[in-house]
Amino acid sequence: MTDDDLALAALLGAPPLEPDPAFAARVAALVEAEAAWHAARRAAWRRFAGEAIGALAVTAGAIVIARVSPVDGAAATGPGLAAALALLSWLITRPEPRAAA
Amino acid sequence: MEPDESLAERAGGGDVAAFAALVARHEARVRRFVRRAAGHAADDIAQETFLKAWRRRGEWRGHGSYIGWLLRIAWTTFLDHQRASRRRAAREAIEPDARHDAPDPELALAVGQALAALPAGERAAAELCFAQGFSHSEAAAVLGLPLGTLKSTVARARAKLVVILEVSDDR
Repeated sequence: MTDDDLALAALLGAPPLEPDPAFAARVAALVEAEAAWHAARRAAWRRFAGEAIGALAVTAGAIVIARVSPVDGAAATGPGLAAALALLSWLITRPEPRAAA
Repeated sequence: MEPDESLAERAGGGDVAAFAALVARHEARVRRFVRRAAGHAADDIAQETFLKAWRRRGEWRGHGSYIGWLLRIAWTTFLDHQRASRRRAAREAIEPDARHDAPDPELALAVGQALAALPAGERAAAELCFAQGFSHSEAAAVLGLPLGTLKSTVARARAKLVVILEVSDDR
């Protein structure tokens, strides 16, 4: 280091900026809020994906059952009715989505 | 005291408390660097720097110091802000806040004015190499410059500061 460097270091370097706990607390609060928001978003996507897969499975099952060739009158309505009941029971008994954090 | 590497590793795994400890440890140096480099809106840029560091927490691989990585983010954030307000001259973006940093108001004002007379890149290079004690290679990594370019930038800043501050001393 030259003398100029030392002189500039003395002029520019001192005194160090004081720590600002309020600034650090503000940043920490923002980071915590962002982390909570991301966690809630991940949970919502997981819930949506689970319910979408369940609904698709029930609907696909209902379609397959409804397309089975009817043998007689009772057999024609029976599978469709069973599928509708299965769909209805799933809609009634599915877990309630939790409130977003 | 837990080292930066350990805290950064925990923060990388999503540990908010570990990241908060890193913020508390380094916020003064980051704010100081941003204030010297940017002046205007320094605390906003510093805050954005830490939020970006949190979002990129998995990217820190332990190459170089954690403060160097933070200052690199601070510098790119400052450049983003500068691009966003390109119509204003870089010189106008400097506030004479530096005068509050020193006990001698006249000297601090002279230093602040001398820094304000430099382009942002030279100002940042001077702050890193003279005030924060970074080596040329560390400062080059922070500013994203080749080592040779950084050295010439520091040399230009040194020459200008010496002239300006000597003139200020004569008054």
